[in-house]
Amino acid sequence: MVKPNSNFITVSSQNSCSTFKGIAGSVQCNPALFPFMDLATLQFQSIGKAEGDSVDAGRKLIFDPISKEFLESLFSENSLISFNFDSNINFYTNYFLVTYSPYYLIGDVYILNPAFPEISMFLNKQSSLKMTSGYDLSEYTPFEGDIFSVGMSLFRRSREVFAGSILLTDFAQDDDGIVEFEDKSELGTDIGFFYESSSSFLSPKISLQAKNLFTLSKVNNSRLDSSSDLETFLIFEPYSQLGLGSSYLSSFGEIYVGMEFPFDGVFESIYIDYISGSINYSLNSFMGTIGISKYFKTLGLYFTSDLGSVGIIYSNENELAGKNIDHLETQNSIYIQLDIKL
Amino acid sequence: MKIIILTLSILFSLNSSFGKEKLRSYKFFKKHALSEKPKYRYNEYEGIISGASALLIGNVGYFTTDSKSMKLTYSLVQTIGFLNIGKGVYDFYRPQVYAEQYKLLRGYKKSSKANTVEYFSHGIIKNIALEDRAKRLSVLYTSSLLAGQYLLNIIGDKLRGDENSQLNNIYYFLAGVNTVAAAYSYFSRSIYEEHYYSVTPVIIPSSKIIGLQASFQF
Repeated sequence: MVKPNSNFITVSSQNSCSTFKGIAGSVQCNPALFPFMDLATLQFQSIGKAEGDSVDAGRKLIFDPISKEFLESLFSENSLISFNFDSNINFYTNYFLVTYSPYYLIGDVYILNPAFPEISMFLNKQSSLKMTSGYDLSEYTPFEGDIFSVGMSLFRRSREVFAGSILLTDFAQDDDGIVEFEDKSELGTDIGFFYESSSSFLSPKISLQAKNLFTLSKVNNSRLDSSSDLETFLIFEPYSQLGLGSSYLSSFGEIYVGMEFPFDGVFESIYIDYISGSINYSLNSFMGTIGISKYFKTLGLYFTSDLGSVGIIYSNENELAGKNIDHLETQNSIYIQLDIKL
Repeated sequence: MKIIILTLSILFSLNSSFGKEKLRSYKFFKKHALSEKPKYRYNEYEGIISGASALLIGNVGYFTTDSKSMKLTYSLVQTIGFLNIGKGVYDFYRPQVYAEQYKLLRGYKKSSKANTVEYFSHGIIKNIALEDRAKRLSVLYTSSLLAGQYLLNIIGDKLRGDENSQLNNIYYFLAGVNTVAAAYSYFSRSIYEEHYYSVTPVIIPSSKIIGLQASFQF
């Protein structure tokens, strides 16, 4: 799943990268990793689904007017369309990182019963501006060599959202008025902590994060529990994460292992089904990541040069996971990340 | 008289402290110039391994996918592989600037016969020439390999019967641009490089076949 301000490492590791200190892009996993990132002055970045059944359909859903014919053609082959895309412009300095995201898009559409077509939709168009900074407080750790850091992001986002179910028959009367986007603008903050122990050669690490604090977005629980509605969570509403990790440096390269435990609110109740784990291997200009959770499997390959980089993420995902429906639809997709450094 | 003594003593003290400063600078430079360390390295083959993985995945991916967007992506991976090879070539040929300059100073200290201006000029020109050559060879290798890769992509597509005229036009264009860049970098030696290698023929000094010498020397 592409969350806001995503990049290769967040998508390929399924966001279990909050302890990946120094790995390119990991500051978007955890603001406390800010002091350890490599500086690139200006970076243009985009990531999204590039291959799979949902790509063209998803783009049209968000940008084109939605008509009955279009929806009918859409579901002639698939009953689920799931599309997402994110673009970021990152400006790095020694003291902060500013990220402007002109487009963050989600288009999830599911048809419940082809005989009596009711369509459940979650559409989101968003632009955002985020400032991230962090501070290395290692000198205050009780043990020599341990690393401790804190970080924080402040952001403002403007969203156009549609979440609801429509009947295909409704389109007969009024073609344009059915899908009306609701405007939402909000301010919010992310806070993160990171600690690495030097007690063992496996460098155990732990991270704590609270995301989207002070935002007004909420998960609609009745939609979440319903088998006929699509509702996204762990994206816009306040949630928190506990991350555990380890790393091993050898002459063959560096390996990071991470696990992430997501909670509702500020460590209130755990989402057991959405615990994720990842393994990252990096050597020189190459990086490979495997991400695993109950409903998503990802394999990412990342190639970097002085001018820019390309990331390819092969993904097997089940967007309807957790819904109480008879058939679970699994999709194979490929996500592409491109970035240019100046 | 007092004024003269005072002036002399100030001059003397200035002179001596200046002398000490000079000596300290030399020692400082000696200590640090030789410890110029490159970036952290996992092993000495990491550049080759990561570059080769980009080329392998770029080529296997390119010739097995039918999707246009994925072909473009895999050809970007191929490009990154060759850009990194170019960077490796630059790192291999570039002078270790600080160490080279220290060697220059040490050489001067040891031999008092050297014509100072000529000696230092030669050393400085050598540094500039090596840097220019490293940059030029890096472009030469990257561009010629890229031109080859893009032509291979076109040929591979044709052999598979998968002719995408739009993509192929892009590759023809890129192959052309890279061929021009490679040819230009082959011939365009900087004046420093020309001068340094004309004074110091390093590769095949006694070769009678000028063409062979040029091809080895680039």
